[in-house]
Amino acid sequence: MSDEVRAALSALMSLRSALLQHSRDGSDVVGAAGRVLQDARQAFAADLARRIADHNEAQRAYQACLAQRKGWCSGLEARVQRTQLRVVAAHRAVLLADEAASAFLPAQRRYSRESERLTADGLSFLSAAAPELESYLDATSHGGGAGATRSGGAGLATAVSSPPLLSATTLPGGTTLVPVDLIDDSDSPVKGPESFTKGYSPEDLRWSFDALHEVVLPGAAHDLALDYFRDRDHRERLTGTRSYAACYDGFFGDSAIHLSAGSDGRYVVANGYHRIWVARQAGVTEVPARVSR
Amino acid sequence: MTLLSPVVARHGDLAAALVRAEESASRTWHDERFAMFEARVLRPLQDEDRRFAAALEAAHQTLLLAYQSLTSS
Repeated sequence: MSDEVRAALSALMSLRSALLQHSRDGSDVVGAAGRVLQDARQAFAADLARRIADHNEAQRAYQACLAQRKGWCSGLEARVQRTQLRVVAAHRAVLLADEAASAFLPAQRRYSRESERLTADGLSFLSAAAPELESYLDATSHGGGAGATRSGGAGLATAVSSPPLLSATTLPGGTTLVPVDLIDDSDSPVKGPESFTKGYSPEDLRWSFDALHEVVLPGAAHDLALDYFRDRDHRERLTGTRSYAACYDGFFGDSAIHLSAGSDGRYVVANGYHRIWVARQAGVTEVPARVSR
Repeated sequence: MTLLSPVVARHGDLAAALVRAEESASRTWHDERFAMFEARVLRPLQDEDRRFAAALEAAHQTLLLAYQSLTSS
């Protein structure tokens, strides 16, 4: 049985990597397809403009010939007809490219949106399953039963046992789990620990991420809200930045991480640079965030 | 000008990688949670891959028609 659980844990980790890779590659493909279509439309439009200019030039030459009442304008007339056909063909190409784009763009948006939602849901599912499997391994390796709670970890109080699956749509405060790899924080003002000047340290935020995964998310999955975490803080004498209530409020309240979804499938940061920096440093793969489109 | 065919091929690769990951996991993770993960995450993702592949292919074919229109004149 233990070997089976180990195999399941290994499969689960592989699936997690596969999901993240699929998400990254999918974003790249969506971006590449958008660029090809845009380039094609620009190239077709430029070609149409060139052909229209040729046609206008041909018409001017033909009209000038007619005005001079010369008898050798038929060659110019044929050129007008030829350039006219080339304009019609280029115009058709532009219309077809527009048609391709207008049919493709809704599919592109849907794919980005649904892939993102399903990836977040899948990562959440795997995150919920891993502790259960690990706790089984811990318990069996120490002679306990399969239902034992997980030991060790972040040194926090015991998490709610057997958390139900957390769907991205059930996170409090309208937040959703977003893979850190999909967040573009290249414009972040946070360069290192010296950038933390708002009354909390990187260590405080690491504690908060541990609290999030060990206590707050499992609690939220059981519909426990701020009052519960305040009460638990009181019982465990936790206050300030290192409290479950501050963790809950920070990740799901007014100061939640706020991201804007870009057309390339990545996210731009509106609020939460410090937490995202800490998440990267701590190897946290996904963060709860409020996402605007 | 670049055609969409390299993008179509790349999307085919990533979709196939997800199918392989599912097949590999199914050989070692047998319990009901894997079945639920398949039903809730992997199959819907694969459905989205197929839907997107069809849209990519349609866009590719329409762009080809556009190129043919240009080069035939």
